[in-house]
Amino acid sequence: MVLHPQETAEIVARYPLRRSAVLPLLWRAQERIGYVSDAAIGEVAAAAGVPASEVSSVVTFYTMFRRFAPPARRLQVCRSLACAMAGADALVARLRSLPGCGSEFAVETVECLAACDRAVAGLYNEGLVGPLSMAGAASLLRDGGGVAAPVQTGGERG
Amino acid sequence: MIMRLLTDGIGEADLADIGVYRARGGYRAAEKAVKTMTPAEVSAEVVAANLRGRGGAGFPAGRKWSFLPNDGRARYLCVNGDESEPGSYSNRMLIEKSPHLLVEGVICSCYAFGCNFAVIYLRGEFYEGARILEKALAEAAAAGLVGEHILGSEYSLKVLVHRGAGAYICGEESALLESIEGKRGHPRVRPPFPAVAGLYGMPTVVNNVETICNVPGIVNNGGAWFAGIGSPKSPGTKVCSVSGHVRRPGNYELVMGTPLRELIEEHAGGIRDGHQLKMILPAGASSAAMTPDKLDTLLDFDAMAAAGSMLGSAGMIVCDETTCAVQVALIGERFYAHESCGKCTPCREGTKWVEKVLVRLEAGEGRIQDVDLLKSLVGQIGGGKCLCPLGDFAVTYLGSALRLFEDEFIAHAQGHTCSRIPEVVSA
Repeated sequence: MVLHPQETAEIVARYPLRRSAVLPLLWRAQERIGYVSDAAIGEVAAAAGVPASEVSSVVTFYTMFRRFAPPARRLQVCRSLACAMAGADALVARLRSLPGCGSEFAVETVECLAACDRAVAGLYNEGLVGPLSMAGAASLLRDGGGVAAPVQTGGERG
Repeated sequence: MIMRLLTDGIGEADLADIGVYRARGGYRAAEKAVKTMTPAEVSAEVVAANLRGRGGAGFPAGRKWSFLPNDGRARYLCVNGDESEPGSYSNRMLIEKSPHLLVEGVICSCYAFGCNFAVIYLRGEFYEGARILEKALAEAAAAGLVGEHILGSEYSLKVLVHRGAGAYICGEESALLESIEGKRGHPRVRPPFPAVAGLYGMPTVVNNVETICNVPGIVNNGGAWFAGIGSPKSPGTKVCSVSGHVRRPGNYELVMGTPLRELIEEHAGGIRDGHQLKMILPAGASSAAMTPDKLDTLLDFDAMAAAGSMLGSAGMIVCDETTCAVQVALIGERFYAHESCGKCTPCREGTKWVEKVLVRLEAGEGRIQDVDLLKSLVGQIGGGKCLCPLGDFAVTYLGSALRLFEDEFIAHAQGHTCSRIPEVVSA
């Protein structure tokens, strides 16, 4: 079992209709094993009372659900307007040329992370980072060190 | 003019701690509403305030609440915290830095329209926001502010945080409802509108995070007080997010009706050294560009619309003269092509077609007919041809850029490419 039955029951019981538990249960499965496996899809389908094919269509619709386990270090770089204007595409291209990319760590692109004051912004595993420099991003991917804390910019901070 | 109704204390105090929040007067509005006012009285204050929806549409929240039918069915509140519009980051700040303000707004709003179940929908990328909000809800529950018999009254309210998982479309209210129901985020055909048939087919209110955060202040000080702030037809404040080529990007909470110029030149510090303003996308990537001659436009829903653009959620992307108008269109279209949910043909097919044309223009492989083709595509995709506004959003900037900067598109079509976006990020 990927999901713990007691926890599953507790999540299902939160909602007026059990099918609302699909997304939270998929999140729980991904937190547990790093991705959404076929077994997890079956368990979520049974718990939420919807066909497995429908759960599968939900998994592939939402970009944050993964069907395979990612490397331990994962940097998602925002490529939307403010970050693109700050050079996100070139940063991604350079990071992807680093040795170990794809095996030891992953460099992915995402759309706007709602951190445009920190362009180029990124998500390192679950943490918001930025502004990312080439050196800082490379250091993160090498050993998880570097620019973990966001810098302050102007106004009231996000 | 800066006026900190919602952002008061942010950056100075740890408002995510319920003790700190209460010491600064927090949860007074919830107590006042639940203990001393009838639901109709709270609703009447919000109607009198003319609080317009901060998610971008500007629809009056009190009127939206009044559309709920009185037929004895359960009612739901869904708070839209899916903030995904490129350029907007004010909701994330409110959620992370002042989560109890949001919780208090939910309590006051639900009490006002007789709702016992609220869902706060957060985009999946807000890992930190979800943790902070869950903690705030647990603190509020421990203090008897949410749950059964709030503050010893007959009123009960359950509040859940529901996380999305990466889909811009879920910020559209009917797609958001589908997502809470465990489905793919496909917009619904309307009518019926959510007020009549929303979550699980029940009467539902969907309001933005910032809209809900305004409710405690209205309860504390009265609708007339709120209606007297800022523009007569757009009262209150707006948290504006500024990004791009300015000296001090950040969130600035301004009185509605503040000139755009003041935001850009004073608060955001003006354009970076040695450069001049080329254009502003005032409501993120989905908005029509505004040129420097529009800087004296007032920041409110009506004045921005009259100036040919929109206030929206006020995610202001500022571009200086080094920015290529065609490249901005391509980056925007890449986003819409990626985020189109695939339900409506004009959006699903059209965004990818526009992207393809812009890619070849950028690569210097365009044809002179491409400029007219793009103009035609703007008309074929936009103008309400889809079930939700994503199709319109996908061509709003492009349509404006083809009017304002047509020469740049023609130059690209003639093979004169430019590479104005920096190659290397500064170390």
